[in-house]
Amino acid sequence: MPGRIAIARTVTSRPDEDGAVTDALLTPERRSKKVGTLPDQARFVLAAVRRCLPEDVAATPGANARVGVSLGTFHGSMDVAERCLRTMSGGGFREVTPSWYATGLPNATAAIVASVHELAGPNLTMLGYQAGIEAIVMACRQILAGRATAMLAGGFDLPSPHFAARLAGAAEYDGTGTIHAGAGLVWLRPGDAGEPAGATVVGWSQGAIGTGETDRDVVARLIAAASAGPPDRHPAVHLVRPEGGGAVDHLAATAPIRLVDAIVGNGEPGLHALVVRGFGASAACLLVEKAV
Amino acid sequence: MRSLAAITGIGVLSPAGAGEEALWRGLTGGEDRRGSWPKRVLSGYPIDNVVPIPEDLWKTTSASAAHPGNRAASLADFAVGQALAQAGLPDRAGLRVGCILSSTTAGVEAAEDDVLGLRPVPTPSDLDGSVIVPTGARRWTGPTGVISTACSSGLVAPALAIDALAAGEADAMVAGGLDVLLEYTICGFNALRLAAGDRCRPFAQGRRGVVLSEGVACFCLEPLEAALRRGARIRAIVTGYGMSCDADHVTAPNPAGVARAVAAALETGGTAPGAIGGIFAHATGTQANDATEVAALRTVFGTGGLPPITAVKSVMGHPQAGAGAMSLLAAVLALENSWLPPTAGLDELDPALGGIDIVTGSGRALDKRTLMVNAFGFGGNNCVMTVADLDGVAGHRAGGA
Repeated sequence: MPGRIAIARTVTSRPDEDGAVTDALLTPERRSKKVGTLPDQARFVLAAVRRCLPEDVAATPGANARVGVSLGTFHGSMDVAERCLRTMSGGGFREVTPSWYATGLPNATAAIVASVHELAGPNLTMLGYQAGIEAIVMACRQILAGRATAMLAGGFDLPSPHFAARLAGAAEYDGTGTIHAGAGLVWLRPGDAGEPAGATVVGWSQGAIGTGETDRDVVARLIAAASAGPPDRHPAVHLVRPEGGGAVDHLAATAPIRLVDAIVGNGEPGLHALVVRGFGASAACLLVEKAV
Repeated sequence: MRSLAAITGIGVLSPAGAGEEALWRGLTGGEDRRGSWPKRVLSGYPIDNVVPIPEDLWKTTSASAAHPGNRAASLADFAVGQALAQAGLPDRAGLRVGCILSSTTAGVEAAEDDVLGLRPVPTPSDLDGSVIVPTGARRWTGPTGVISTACSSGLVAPALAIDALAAGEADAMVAGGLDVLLEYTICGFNALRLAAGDRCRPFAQGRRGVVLSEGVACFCLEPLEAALRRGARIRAIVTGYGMSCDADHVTAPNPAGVARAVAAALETGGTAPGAIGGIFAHATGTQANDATEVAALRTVFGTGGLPPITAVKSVMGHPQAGAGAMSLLAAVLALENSWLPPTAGLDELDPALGGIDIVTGSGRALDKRTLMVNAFGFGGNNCVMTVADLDGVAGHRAGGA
């Protein structure tokens, strides 16, 4: 096993059934002194971050040089690309706002979180449907390598209506998907969770799905890799992948939300394996021990 | 004890051509490769001035056909294949090999084409930035992923790959960075007033900013001892790296944040500042970046003066997530050729930067065996790496750093 990392705090954020991202889901601040105008995506994540940060971290800005942020997103910079191109074909270049590009890059949200809360440790952003769990894996590695004393990690997405509709109509969702915004965040620190009902990351793996591999093959291979050999216990398996059938999907936040809800929050005591496979060949696995 | 990662394979496709020889000729030749963006006419922007991969090159390399409509994936496929082949690991039998790439534009080419109605409705895979990790016949058994930390990405990906090696999660890793020229990037740099209408002139008085470009550079990385045991050709050794986040402004670089990354790279590598024979600077050619970078370097190097500095972007433009990887590759080639390539187009050094030693003309002989490579990005994401050849590493081990 590569080490033990405590999931010390968790938070999820998602809209009601209608999918609308209301003001209640956004941080009330519309501007930051250092960033300028905050895009809705950043306001959405900042509102969740505020609920996830431990009080001592939130209360002592400037003292967090070794606290980092690691986030995953599927949507990346599609939103800013769409906005730039639609503006160019509408009002033209004069109507393009200078800050759009830099605050719309895939890493901008993690950077804005770091700026607002002065978290100057490793700052990472992963891309893809499985990126939320990959970001948690990357965060665990940074802690184990001694580069961070704690990491805020997870996944988020707030897709534009255009691309949410594009994805919902795709074959991967049987043409009837429901794509909503979402954020699933965890606060990670070294060691065991300790407190009752806590959860601890005890292993992880990443890899690509080979031609002809079934879900069962992928799950077995990734669990074995995460366990550094055949697992001595059979974990409860939670497989996350894009699928139709009426389930609401939150893109890169889907798997972290499942981690928070189904394992840390409501999981049975014992070993759990969360495996996520994306639209492409990438997959990731997190082994989590839920305390009694 | 620090872990040393050997670079045993290289793959690159740049505006100068396919392969490392083309890149080296381009860096030492200093040819001006600028033009307008070849994909579409951009009449609505103040500046359309980029260093593109020539369309002829796209058509004549295997990169062109691999993924129609997804040039980022094509670049990745090409360079990853080259790096694995050069490392002698094409089938990777019995080894756990992973792949961590980086990009700011992966998946967005399809999004742009969709918004403009240029192609049929994209599939989710077309829009997924992580699909640039090549698949097909290859099955990665080590960590995979696509990182995006703006223009520091190309160094961050190899750094994270080295972390995976050090953690024992893989026997070898392929890592690097890439980006393709897209309209929203050109739009963004125009809107920020950072796009230069002339040549990119890092450190020059009157420099006007960035000239965007595109390309890929990838590396096969292995633990040094393991690479030596299997008799691999050691192209160079990554001796240390440092990452930092400014936690400050989204676009304006912060000298303290950059200095933290520089200091961490020296510290983790056990490298004394005096051992650095040259710096491959991030050097975008903007007023703020170049001044901040020099100030940060001075903070760390102190009163002993700065090593010679050179700027790859003066010739290759700024390939965003490809930038750090292309600078790292230039440093590897500099070590092998014992030659620092020049900063092109530097007609008059900015006096506000003080007395810094910029490599100009046809370049300069390299007299030390360790180099520093810098990459910084919007969002205050900084990464700095030190790289040496075997002689340089032997010097470190003998305490002669």
